[in-house]
Amino acid sequence: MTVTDGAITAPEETLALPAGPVIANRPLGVFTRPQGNEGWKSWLFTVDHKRIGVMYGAAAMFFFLVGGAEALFIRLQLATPDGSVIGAGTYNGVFTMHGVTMIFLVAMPMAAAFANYLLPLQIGARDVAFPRLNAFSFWCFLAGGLLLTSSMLIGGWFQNVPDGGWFNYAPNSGVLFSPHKGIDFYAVGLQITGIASLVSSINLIVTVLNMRTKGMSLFRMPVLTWMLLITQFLLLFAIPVITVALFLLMFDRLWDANFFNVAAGADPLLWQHLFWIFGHPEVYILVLPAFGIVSEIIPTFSRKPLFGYHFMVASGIAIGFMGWGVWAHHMFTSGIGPLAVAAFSVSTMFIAVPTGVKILNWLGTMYGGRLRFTTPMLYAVGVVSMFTIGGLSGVTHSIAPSDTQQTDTYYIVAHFHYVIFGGIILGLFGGLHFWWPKIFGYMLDEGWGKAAFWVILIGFNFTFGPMHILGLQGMSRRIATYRADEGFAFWNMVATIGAFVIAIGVAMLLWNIYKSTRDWRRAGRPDVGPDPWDARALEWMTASPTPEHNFDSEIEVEGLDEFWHRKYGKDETGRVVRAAPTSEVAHDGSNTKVHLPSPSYWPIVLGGGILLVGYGLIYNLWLAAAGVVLLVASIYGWILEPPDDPEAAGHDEDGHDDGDGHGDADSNGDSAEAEEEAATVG
Amino acid sequence: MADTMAAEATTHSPHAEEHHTSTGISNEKLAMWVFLGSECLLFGGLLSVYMFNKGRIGPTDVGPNDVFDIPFTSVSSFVLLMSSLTMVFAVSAIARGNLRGNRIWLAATAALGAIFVAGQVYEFTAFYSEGLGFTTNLFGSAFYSLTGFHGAHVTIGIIMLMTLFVMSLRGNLPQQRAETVEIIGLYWHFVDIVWIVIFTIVYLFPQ
Amino acid sequence: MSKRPMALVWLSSLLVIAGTIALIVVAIVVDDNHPLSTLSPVGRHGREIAELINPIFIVAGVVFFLVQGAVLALWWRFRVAGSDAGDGEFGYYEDDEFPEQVHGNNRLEVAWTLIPTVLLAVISVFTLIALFALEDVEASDEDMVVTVIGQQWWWEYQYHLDGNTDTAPDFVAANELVIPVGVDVPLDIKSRDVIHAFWIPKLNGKKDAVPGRSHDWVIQAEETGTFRGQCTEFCGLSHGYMKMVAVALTAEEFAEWRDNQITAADMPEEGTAEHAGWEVFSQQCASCHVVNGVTSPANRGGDPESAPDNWDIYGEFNGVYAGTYLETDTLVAGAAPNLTHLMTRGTFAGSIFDLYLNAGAHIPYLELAEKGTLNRGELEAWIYNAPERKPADADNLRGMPARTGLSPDDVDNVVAFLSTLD
Repeated sequence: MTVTDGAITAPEETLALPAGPVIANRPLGVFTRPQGNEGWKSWLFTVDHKRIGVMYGAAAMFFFLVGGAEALFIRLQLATPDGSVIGAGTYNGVFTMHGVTMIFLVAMPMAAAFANYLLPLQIGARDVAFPRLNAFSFWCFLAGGLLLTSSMLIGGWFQNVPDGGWFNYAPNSGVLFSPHKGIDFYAVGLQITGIASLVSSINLIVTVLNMRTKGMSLFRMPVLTWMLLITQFLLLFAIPVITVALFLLMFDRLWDANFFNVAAGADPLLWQHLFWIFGHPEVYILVLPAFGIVSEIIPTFSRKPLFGYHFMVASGIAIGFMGWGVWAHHMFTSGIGPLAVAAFSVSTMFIAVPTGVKILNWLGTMYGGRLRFTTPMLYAVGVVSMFTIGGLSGVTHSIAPSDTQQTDTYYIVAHFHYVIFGGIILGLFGGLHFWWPKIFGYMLDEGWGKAAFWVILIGFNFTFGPMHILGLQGMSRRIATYRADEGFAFWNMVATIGAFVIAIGVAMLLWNIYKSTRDWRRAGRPDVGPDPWDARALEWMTASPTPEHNFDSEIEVEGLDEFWHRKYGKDETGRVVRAAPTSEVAHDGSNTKVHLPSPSYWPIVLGGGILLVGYGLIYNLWLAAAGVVLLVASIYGWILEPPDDPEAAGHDEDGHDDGDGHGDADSNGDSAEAEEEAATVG
Repeated sequence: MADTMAAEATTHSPHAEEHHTSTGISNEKLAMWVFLGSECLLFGGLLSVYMFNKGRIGPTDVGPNDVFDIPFTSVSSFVLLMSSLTMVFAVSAIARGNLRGNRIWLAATAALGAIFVAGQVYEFTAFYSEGLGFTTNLFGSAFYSLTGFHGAHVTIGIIMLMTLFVMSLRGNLPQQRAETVEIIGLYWHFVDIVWIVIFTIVYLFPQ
Repeated sequence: MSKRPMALVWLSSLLVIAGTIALIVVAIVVDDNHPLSTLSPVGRHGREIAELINPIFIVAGVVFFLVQGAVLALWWRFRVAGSDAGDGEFGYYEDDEFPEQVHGNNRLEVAWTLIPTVLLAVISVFTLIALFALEDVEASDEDMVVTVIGQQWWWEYQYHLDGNTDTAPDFVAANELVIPVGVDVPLDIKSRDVIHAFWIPKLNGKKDAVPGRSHDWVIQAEETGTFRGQCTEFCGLSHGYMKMVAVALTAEEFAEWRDNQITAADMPEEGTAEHAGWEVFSQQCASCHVVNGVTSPANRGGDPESAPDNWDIYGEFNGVYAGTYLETDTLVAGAAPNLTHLMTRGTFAGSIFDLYLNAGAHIPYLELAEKGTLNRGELEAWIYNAPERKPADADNLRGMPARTGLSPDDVDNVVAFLSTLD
């Protein structure tokens, strides 16, 4: 058996030879594959989905702090009327980068962290379908994130930063109105993160569809796996649309095309349609993983199965489909005509139905349970409560006539922060506390965890609650300042104070991580055991931290919540009783005779090539050419590098040139195929 | 589906077990299908952009009617269509273990693709000399973007086919790896089908 | 902290709930001094929107309290006291009691799918009725149409008294849109550069001004008064400084205002400070600003062939603005507000500064020029160095450039000249 398709290798199979004559003799193997699983190399060259997941999470936390600092500058500027903390120009850059960072570099990769770490575990697989491709996704995301973030520094502080808003409407994004390079960073950076998301979505879709362990039928998968699967499909179809839009923008800016040139007859609404056809599914791309996390946490701490599992899955699918039919509700005032407004108004209203079903099912799960308000549970219930507010204000936007008053005001800002912070960030933080012991092998301190939660929750409500009022009182979005006689001063000050309370809460969360780690080390690294929360899904069935090979042996699944049902059965009277101690059911991670995919140099090199192409497109095409050379070289290196499996068949697959070298969907598909081929041996 | 499965099981006999997946389709093939699903949206988006913009030109601007040479493009489209046929022969040859036949048909497919791309290059040059540049007007920008993206896809396909050809020459493309050819074939057919749509909408629809 | 959290929990939830209620109450009570508020509409459309949304706010509020109440009730009823993490070794729970393992209830699921669906269906009917009524901009029997043109970062209003927007406008105003009270005034919203949005919250919702497109909209005030507005589509550097005002006058006052606006300015007498100011203005300002009757078309951007790209490109395409620049030169400002009747306005610089210090409610709009005390300091500072007062990118013809070469006397003279423009 090979390991690449992740099937569990029989324990008696011998370890692969780490290096040997077979590899040395590979005629075209430029490098042998890196070895070892300690030190920095074990991270840079890893293809292990768990390490990649951890790196996604760490990068997302870093960008979260960057985006959070930007938010604080926004709030400082707006704290008082006629604010002058940062000027209008910088302010425009800061709010643009805040949005771009929080959506593309925080919420998406943090969800990707959970997807990478947990998807294979939850379906009982050894790894994802294409481990090297998975590593490439991360490095490519990081390249895009660093490129975008570097725009704040390159050429002076906030001189070349994207400042057209995250929505970046044409024609303000054209060279005529945005002559500096900020929008180029936006166009190129988002294309790079888009490649990462697309490659990752293909990888994870194949993983979930193909690599489920024995008996893991689709409707035995945990709801988190379902939500992540739907998310990946949304990404798969949404990313190419934004890719097209970004290409048009890039062609306009770099090579004088006419797509958004009104003088040549272009209609700027084209950008809006393309952007929101991507942008609205994007909202569900962000929120569905958080829904999945909440659906894991609440049953665990209610000691009950999830209420209405099939309806939860079905409502997720419904949201996934309906999410494609509502994009123009972002354009009710754009002049799309009353019929289109009417259609999108109604379709938007009804997307509230499946979302409401989810809320009610979570409440149904809690009903009659034995609720334990641990830190993860607090975050999960916080999502139920706060997301409801965002959902309700969302319904008020769907009333199109009313939206003409509300759109582009702080009422909208309040709404989507209740969705994105109250729904998504709280959900992801809940997941962080929930799976921390699984990932690192020790618990986070509950006292500090709860305290941080309450500070964040209170600060959050004081920041964004008043924005509902500000919006209804007529305060527009994206204005760098406001007049004293407009009556916005009081609630802006409250919001600013609230933002700093959030910052304190986040600092407490980080302190908790530091302190818990320190305490655990001082205590001699006690073992937390596989299943500290008495949880339900398969990832808790192996040791903590998860051993590199995930499971000691293949698991055969007989139903939903398999792990729970191995621990607990029912007696004659139908009462739940323990069937077996957790230690007997769970794997101890002691099986070292599992053959794992070898690390590889090429994913990170390929990511570096893409970064060079990115900077090259913005600054100098020769640099881009160098990047393309590196890109092509690493694709060939990728294909030609030896498998570590002496049993594998001939491996030097089709290498192919990345002909156009745009670092676009093409080269993306190209490398994807290279990987598809190579993965059979890699 | 079951039949293809059985066929695969036999062609892959030495490694049949290792390709066991939940769906029965190999990871690589499934990934290609999923990727092509995404590509549909890419070309769908580009086609929409073209249709949205093709008429947005002034009365004196260079437009579709001024440059299109339908007979010429019909011939090159036919050439590309034929390459799908030769691709089918290549896949069927390697499935039967006919490695030489596989090479011949791979080379033929790549050659037909190359003829198509050459035709496109010629067409672009001709259009440019007639005054339609990438930056001339919205029609130019949209036309070159759409057909350029497609041409890039064909070019990448050719490179992949050539690589398969070289691999086969070196003995690295045995019958067991027939699925690799099949997967590249999927990509190739997809690119052909996209061209049929583009040709119909861009060249044949009344301007 | 292991035993304290429950108290903290309840305290905090109470705080959150009390805070929410307090926010809403305060918002409603103190709303009267919010000039941009959507909660106290004065126009017919604003009122109809409020009448549509207010009941929905109430429904949403009920759902809000039901869900939050359910969360708290479940919390209170089903929490297991003293069961924080780590009861057992390694954080295990050692809890041998189990609730009933309910997997779901199909009837409930169907119910809570259908009930919101029906509720939303009812709401959608009301929404659609209101939507089509509000979008029916043809309904107005007013002849006059105002072409509203957004550009970075101010608004121009071209008044077509006969309603024919294909011909030259009768007169042009900037930043302050004056309308007769009680009349549905049709607007024709356009843009010269990027996308803007025209929004007078007390009168009607917003409508985007999209270059290359022409959007019909309508505005009506049920009472006389001055109503503030703000560009609400992000339009670049000074977006926050792009404001506007709508002024509703009685029919007689409006007629008086209109008749005055149609007149051209008078040339100041030679030898006066006003005349010296006009000379400076002609050299330094008139290439962008038009003052009907006293600035020459030749000052306006010079040769149209060599005019900077972004002056006329948005004008000529599609015939949307065809000819407005060159044929009606004396009327239409190209890149800056027409100043022919500057002194009749209450604000300047995209309505971010008050033109008169004592304006407020004390002086009727028509008597501003007569009775107002000029906000001289702000006006002089603006003339001398505008980008310092309102961020601009004048090198790229976006916003008003600095004129720091002017001597204090020059500035005084220009102000003197401007003061004649009533």
